[in-house]
Amino acid sequence: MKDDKSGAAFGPASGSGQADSAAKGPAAPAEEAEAPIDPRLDQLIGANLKAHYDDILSAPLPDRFVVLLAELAAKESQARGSS
Amino acid sequence: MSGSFKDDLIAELPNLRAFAASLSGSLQTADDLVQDTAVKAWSNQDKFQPGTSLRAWLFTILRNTYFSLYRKRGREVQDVDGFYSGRLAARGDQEGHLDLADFRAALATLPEEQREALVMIGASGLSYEEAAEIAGVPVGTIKSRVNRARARLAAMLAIDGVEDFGPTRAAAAVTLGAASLTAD
Repeated sequence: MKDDKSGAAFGPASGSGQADSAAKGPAAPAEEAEAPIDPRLDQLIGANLKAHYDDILSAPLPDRFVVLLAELAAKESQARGSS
Repeated sequence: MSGSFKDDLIAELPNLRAFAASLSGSLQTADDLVQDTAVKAWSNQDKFQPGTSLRAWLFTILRNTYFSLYRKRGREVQDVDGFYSGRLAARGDQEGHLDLADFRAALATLPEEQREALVMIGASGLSYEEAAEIAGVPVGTIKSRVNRARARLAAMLAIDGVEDFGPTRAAAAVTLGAASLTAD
């Protein structure tokens, strides 16, 4: 995890080069007045979210991807050699 | 992070897969999506700016591909390939976790924009700024989406109260919540 930017996570966007392109409005409107979430629930949500994600992260990667990239790399070096 | 582009790309594939599966709700669709993303990334690798986040760049490609080509298809296959039926990697359940299939079912009820924001911030290790750039919206919008996603999930999970959260009760709470909460 690279959390080096987390300190500025709530600050204004630094690299907002295209921020205005798809903006739906000025900043986010507080549409749903949200009651604060029970910290235990919030923690449960976070833990489950990570469990969901990590389950896929730790699953073996299908061979098709390694094969695909090997093919792409081979094609490239072939093209380079022939041109 | 200084290997060849190919090695760096391969290293990011599990993350792309997890993000794609979170978006589409289907591991089968996710793998097709990752393959398309890898091909596009490869042929556009000269456009990647070294020193910036490869993950964020790849997520942008994947997300755009998903929203332009895959969205409908993902919905069609969502429930037929058994993605939500359980864990991929065999691992013991950790304490305090819901049954993973139940959580995935709850996650799938969120609007796509909220779901992707929640996953990018809560699981993929991206910053709010990166997530905003990937989704093409202001940082404030990402924050709002994440908060609404958390609030919705909390509402689903809170039905039975958090104190007596056992696997069975939790599953029941999620099911109830998913049934009563529909689109916004």
